[in-house]
Amino acid sequence: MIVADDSALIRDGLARLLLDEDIDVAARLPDATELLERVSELRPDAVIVDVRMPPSFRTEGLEAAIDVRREHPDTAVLVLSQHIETRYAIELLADGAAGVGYLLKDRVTELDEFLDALRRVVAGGTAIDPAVVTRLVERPRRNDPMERLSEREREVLALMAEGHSNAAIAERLVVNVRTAESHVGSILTKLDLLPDAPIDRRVRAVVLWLQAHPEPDET
Amino acid sequence: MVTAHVRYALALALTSACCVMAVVAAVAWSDDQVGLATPALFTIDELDRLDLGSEALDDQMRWSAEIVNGDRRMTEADRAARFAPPFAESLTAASFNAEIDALNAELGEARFVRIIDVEDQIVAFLAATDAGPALTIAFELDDDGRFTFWAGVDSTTGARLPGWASGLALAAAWTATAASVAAWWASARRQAWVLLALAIAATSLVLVLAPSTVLYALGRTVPFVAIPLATWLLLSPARSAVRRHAAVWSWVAAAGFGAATFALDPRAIGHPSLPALADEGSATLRATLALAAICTAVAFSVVVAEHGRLLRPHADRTVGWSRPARAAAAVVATLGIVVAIVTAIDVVDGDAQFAGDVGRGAALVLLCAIPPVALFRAVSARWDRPELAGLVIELEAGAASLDHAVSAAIGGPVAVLRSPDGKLLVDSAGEVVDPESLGAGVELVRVQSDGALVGALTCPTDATERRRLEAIAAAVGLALRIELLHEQVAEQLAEVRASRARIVEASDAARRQIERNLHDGAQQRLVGLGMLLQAARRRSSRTADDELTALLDTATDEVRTSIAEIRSVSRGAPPPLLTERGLSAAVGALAERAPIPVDIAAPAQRLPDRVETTAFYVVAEGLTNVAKHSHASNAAVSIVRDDGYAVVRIVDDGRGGARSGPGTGLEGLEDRVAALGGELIVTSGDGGTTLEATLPCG
Repeated sequence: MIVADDSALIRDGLARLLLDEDIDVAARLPDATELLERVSELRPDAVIVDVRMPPSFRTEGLEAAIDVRREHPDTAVLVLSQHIETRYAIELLADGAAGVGYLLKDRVTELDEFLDALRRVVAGGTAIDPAVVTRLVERPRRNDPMERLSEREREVLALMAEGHSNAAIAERLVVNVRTAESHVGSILTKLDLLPDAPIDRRVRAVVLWLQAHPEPDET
Repeated sequence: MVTAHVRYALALALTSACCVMAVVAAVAWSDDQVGLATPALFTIDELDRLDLGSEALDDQMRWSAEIVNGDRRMTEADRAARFAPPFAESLTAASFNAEIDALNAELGEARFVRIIDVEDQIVAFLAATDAGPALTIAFELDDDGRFTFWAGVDSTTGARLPGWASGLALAAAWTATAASVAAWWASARRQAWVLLALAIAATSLVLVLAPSTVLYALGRTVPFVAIPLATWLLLSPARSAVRRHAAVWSWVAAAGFGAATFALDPRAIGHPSLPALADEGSATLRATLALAAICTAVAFSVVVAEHGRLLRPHADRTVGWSRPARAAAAVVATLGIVVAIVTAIDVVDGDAQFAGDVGRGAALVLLCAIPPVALFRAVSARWDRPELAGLVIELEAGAASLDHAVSAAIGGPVAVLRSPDGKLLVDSAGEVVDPESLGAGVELVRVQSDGALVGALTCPTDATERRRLEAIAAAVGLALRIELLHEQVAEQLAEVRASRARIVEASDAARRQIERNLHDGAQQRLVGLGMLLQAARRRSSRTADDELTALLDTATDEVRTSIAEIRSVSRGAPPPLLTERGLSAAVGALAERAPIPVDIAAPAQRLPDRVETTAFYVVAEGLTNVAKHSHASNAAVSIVRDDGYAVVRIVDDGRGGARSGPGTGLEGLEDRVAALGGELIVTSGDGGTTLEATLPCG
């Protein structure tokens, strides 16, 4: 595990938390400049990267994370952001959703959630912050296809977008797995999405679908 | 209160009266040639009783009386029969005088003058009445002792005015003429015109009603000064060389007419018996008349040409002479030219009598033209001040060139100098002008406004009368002051704009700094703290210290609340996304949060930071209003880059009613947009609201 964050407090705190969970932190970096190099060198299971880091405090962390994804697809990346920006999540998912996480930084104060997301990412899954998903799901749409979904189906859709598996969805909604599976199948059919895709492709498809409706008139 | 209309009517009436007087005077002047002024108003009944001792002679006298009375018209046949010699009867001066004496005795008063024998002529003045004209009958005695009979009427001796009154009028005419010269000399053109009109009127009085030929002759001398002076005045303000030439020409013309008139009509200067200075057919006389006529034509052509040029510098201007006035001037000029040509032909081949008639006719037109022109010039100068009004209109309309407009008003080349600091004078090229270095014939008129020197005019000395120049300077003063104020206002406006832009930028920068400090400092620390609390909680839960775990959970919740509060501080501010990914991405993020679908059309390319920030605020405020007030079901945001401007438009299909006003978000937005030099337009109605910001972006 490599932790890259300009705030020593968070960097060290995070490292301590991870160590408490018996997760080894191989390197702690105050900025993103050496990230790719250290990843090549240390080959960690995952990197936790802050979006905004020195020197310019823009999106160095995000870009470094994307680079790591490209160079080392087997290294999971978990990007922490101070702001909810769906755009960053989309950029991150551009090359595939396997082993990718985008969380609001505040999540580290909800340790169970955070560790769950981290584990999911390390396991090759996806973790998208619920706040981002909420924004995508609640986004106003013209001739809203979401109208076709039931209340419960929308909850399931949000959990799918966050990166949860059918089993995890069933657990969270306190239903049995078959019920969750049938909800998932129904949603994917209604939204014309791939019903049998692996979980990471499913997340990506769902997020992109959410993001693309309505289609912006970009010029 | 006398209205301008009444004053105008009075001036017109006065002008017309003067005109009529002048016509009558001119006609009287040339009475013996034209014959119109012969007021054959008396009846010589006495002639019937006149017995000259000859049936033929008596008959001739009675016939003359009928002609004189207008009872009979003289035909060519009459002329041949009546005026042809011989009268065979012998009549000596002595016997004629005896007859006259007897007649006077019979009438009881000396009504008939005795025969005067001058050389070979016998001339009788038959003074028929006290007031009427005299019948002049002349008998020419030839070598054979025969009489040639001549009869004529001379109205000039028919005095209507007492001698003192006529003398007074003559004195007034000359005094007014002299005073008009003085007024003209003092550059008081308007007064000169009034005096000149007065002089012409008095002259007319003398010419019509003079009791003696001497007064009459003296009266006729006034126009010889008045005409050239009027020419001079008509030309003012003109270029001095042109004015000088025209005046010389008209003086020569006047002198020529004078000489020719006296030569043709010696009785005009006194006694009827005086011989003509020149023979009627003499080349000298004809040449004099021709010269006079040509000079008249030249003088008037110059006048018309100059006025055409000076008073109408632009074809589309309605300032200057009115169309009828220009037409009249053109007619006069043409007449002058025609007269010149006719006279010139006449000099080569013709009789002097005709040339004299034409010459006098031209003089008559001159004389008639002066009073109305004079009065109208005076009137228009007083009530219209057409050139000045034209200047003010041009200045108000924003004259392209102040120099040009003022030159047209003054009638000479004028340069307008400006004094930005109230001390030095600077010309249009920005060069400092030394008032001492101006050449001769150029005058510097300082222009002040509100007690401060704002500029100056350099114009030809004596270009126009003093008071008019002062009025023009005052108008220019206003124009220059306005110009100065404009510049100051523009400078201050630019200053204020720049400072407003700086203030907005500084406040934005300060806000960004605070936010960054909060997020990178306090917020990060809180996150770190929350993390530590969670770590602590984990340990406490392991040791099964429930109380501590609950405490730590509460503390963590507090930390989360604090983080949320800090986050809310930056709500509405441009997010880092704007700087990092540009306006299009940031607007997209705004649209995501809107409660209704928002179409976005925005260029992917980046705009200058200031423009992006302001555009972001516009879209944020627009979408906030859409969400809060519009009840719209759709909205669209478009950002178009067009010719150095970015046009940001937010359109919704709601119920409208958006209005900018004190304390509204739109007002603050207007300030922000204006600080950038842009413009914010809110259109709101039943069909929805459109918020459009046009931002300059180089």
